Amino acid sequence: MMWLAAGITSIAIAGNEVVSASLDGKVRSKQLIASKDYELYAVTASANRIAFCGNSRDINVGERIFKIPAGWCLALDFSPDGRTLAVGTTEKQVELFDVATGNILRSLDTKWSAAAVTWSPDGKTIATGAYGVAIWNAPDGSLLRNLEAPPGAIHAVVFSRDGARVAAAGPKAAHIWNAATGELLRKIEPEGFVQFVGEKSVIEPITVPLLSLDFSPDGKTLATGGSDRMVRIWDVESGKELQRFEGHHASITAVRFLDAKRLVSGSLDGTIKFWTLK
Amino acid sequence: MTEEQKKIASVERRVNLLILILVIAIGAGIAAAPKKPDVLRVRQLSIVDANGVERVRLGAPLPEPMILGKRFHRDGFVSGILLFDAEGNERSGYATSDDYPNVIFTLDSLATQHVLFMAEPQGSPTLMMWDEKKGALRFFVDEGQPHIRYGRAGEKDVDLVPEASK
Repeated sequence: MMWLAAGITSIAIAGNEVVSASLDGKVRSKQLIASKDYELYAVTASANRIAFCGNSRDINVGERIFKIPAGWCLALDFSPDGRTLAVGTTEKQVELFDVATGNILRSLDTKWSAAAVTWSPDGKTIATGAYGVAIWNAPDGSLLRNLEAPPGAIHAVVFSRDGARVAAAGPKAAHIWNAATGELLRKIEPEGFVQFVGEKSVIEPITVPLLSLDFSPDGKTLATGGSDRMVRIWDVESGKELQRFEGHHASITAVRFLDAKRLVSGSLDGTIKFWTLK
Repeated sequence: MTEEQKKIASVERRVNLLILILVIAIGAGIAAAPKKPDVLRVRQLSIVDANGVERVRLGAPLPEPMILGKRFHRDGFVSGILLFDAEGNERSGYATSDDYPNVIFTLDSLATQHVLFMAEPQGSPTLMMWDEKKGALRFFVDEGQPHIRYGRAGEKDVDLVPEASK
């Protein structure tokens, strides 16, 4: 029995643990970590703490609660040094919190609900996903560039581990850019949707929104997940699909590489699945 | 009458009295009971499926839209009925707006709105459809004249009915 009302909306890797946030207000690893009376949309982890948020002004950071000025939270990510927390909100802003004090340091004006936010590995820039993708200078909050892509709601952004590339998941496709120049390097458009007829899965040739993505540790492959209900592995250089995993019965909201050969996915079907690459 | 018969008669009188009191009480209770309501007056009604996913909402106002696992802002307050798919995504609505007295009917894909059927307060009806490339087909009636108009984002609209003068 699926429990979509407890659908997984986000996952983070905290040490050796996979931590999930879900629509039933629960944060879980192997055990229940926290429970809220509102839907949760995002979880992130730094070296020594977890932060999560959802349909509330409250941003839960370890045992503390930070407040966004208005609206609610859609995404969040710790800076690599763990000192700053970027929070994407429905109020067309990304708020940068000083983790030590809980004060807002700067606000980034994303012009649309900020459903995705991520720091570059060196902590110097921030990528945001709203109705497009933008790169910001983290120290002063200035806009460095908007990245070229068809307009549409962005659900996830991620940097490669070396910071050279940035990728975003959108309404029809994933795009990969050179993070330094903003040059579009690759468009990845997965066509196909897993329809379940009893236990049998049938792939229908339609394109539906992508919701999540992650680069492999060496940056040579990209994992994607979305409303197609498939985890797919792509060769970044050629754009070819290398492998796909079927098994989720609803949209895949999160994919993360654990190492070069293993990855984890979370879905609105309420399950977390682990996959091993060929 | 023996002493025993007197006691039995006394008990019978008390039992009869108790029955009478009980009948009166029940009768009074029935008379005083509230009538079943003909109208259910609530602000919201939510229908969930076997998986616990909300599939239908009647509400005034309706909730903010859920799209692919996250709830976003709606522009203004609307009241009416919403339909959600098996993953909880808002896919259709039939509603009136608090901000402007339109009545609308919408059909949405997972990514965006694709059909809008609308009547404005003064009576002008419009039917609009958008394809995946953001081309828009618009049907409307204005001053006794039917119109069909097609447009693409960033391009000039083309009148199909009445045909644009060449």
